[in-house]
Amino acid sequence: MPNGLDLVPAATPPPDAELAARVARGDRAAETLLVLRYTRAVLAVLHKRLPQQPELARDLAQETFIIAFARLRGEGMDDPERLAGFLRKTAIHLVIGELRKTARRRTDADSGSIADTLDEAAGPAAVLEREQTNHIVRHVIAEMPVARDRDLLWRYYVLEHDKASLCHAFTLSLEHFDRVVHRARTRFKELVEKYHVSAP
Amino acid sequence: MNVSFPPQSERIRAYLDDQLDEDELEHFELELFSDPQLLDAVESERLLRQGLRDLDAELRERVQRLGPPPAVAAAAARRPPLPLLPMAAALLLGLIPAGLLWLHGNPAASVGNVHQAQLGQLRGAAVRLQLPPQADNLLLLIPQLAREGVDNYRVEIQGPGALRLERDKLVPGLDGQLSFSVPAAQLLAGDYSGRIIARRRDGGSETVGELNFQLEKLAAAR
Repeated sequence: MPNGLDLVPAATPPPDAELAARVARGDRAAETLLVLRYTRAVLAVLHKRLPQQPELARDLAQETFIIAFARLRGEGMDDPERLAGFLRKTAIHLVIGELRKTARRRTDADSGSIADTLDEAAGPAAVLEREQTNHIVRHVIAEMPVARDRDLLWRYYVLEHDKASLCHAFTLSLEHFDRVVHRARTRFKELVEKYHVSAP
Repeated sequence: MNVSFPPQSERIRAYLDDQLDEDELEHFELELFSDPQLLDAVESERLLRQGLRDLDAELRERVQRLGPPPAVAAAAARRPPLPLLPMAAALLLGLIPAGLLWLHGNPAASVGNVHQAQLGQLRGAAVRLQLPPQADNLLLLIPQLAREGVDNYRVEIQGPGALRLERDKLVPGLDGQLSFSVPAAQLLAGDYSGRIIARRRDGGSETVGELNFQLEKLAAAR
C-alpha cells in the first residue's frame, strides 16, 4: 500500500540516440544536454593531446560539438548510439588539423550558446588556472602526514621512478602504494571542488 | 567509491604516459565517455602530475637564479643528515630551500664533536676547511638537486697519501644536499679533489659536479 514514503524512481536520462534525433530536428535543449553529458570527456581527450594548451583544448571542444550537431542536422549518423565515438574522433581530427595548421572550419551553428554550456559542463578541474592547480597540489602534499608518502609521490610523479622499484626501495606492498596515490588523487579532487566553490 | 586500485591506477598511468596501443587508447577513451569515476580519476591524476612537475620546474629555476653556493666551511648546530626527501619537496612543504641557505651563508664554527662542512661545486681555487681538534667526525654537505631520471649519486674524493673516500647510493636530503660523514681520524691535512656521479635508473651514469678543498687540521690549544 502506498504510504507516501515510496521512492520515486529518478528520471532516466535520454539515450544518445534519442538526443541525436532531437538535435537533428533542431532541438536546442537536446544540444545542451549532449554538451553537458560529454564536455568533460571530450576535454580529457583533447588535454591528453594538447597538454600545454588548455585554451586551445577548450576551443576545439566547442568546435567538436559544432561539427557533431551540424552532422546530426545534415547527413545524420548511421548509428547515433556511437555518438561518443564520433565526438572522440572529431576531437582528435581537430587536434591533428590544428597541429598541421590547417584552416579552421567554421559553421553557422549557435556557437555562443555551446560555449556557455561548455563552460558550465567542463567542471572545476577543467577550468583551473595553472597557478590554482599548483596551489592545490601544495596543499595536498603538505597535508600528507607521512613523510615517506610525500617522498613516494614526488619520486613517482616528478622523478618518474617506476612503481615496482619504489615499492622495493620503500619496502611497500603494491596495494599500499596504490592507496597512497589514490588518496592523493581523491584529496586533490576534493580540494579542486572546494576551491571551485569558494573561488570568486 | 568502488574502485579497484591497481588495475585502474596502472591503466591511468599507461594512458597518460602514452603507453597504450591504438586499440587500447580508443577503448580507454570511450570508457571516459561513460564512466564518470574514471574520468574524475584521470583528471585528478593529470593535474596532480602537472602541478608537481610545475613546482619542480619552479624550484629548479629559483635555485638556478640564486647561482652556485659559496663554498665555505660552515658549522651550525649538530645536524644529522636528513632522510630521503628530495629538495623540491621542501619547497612544497613550505620549508626553506637549500638555495636560500646559501644566500645567508653560515658562520664557520664547530659545535659538539661533529664538524659540518658545506662544499660547493666550484672549479678554481680550493675551499679551505679547518677541522677543529675536538671534532670526531666531519659531515660533508654537497648541494645537489634531485634530477629527473637519476636514482642515486656516488661521491668519490681523493686526498693526500692516496686517501680515497667513496660513498654510494646517496640521495639528496630534505635540505637538497647530499651528505655523509667521515671519521676525523681517517682524514689527513692536505688537498682533496673529487667528483659527484649521478646514476640514472636506466643504468647509465655521468659526472655532474666536481669538488676541491684543502683540509687543515687545527691543533688543540695548550
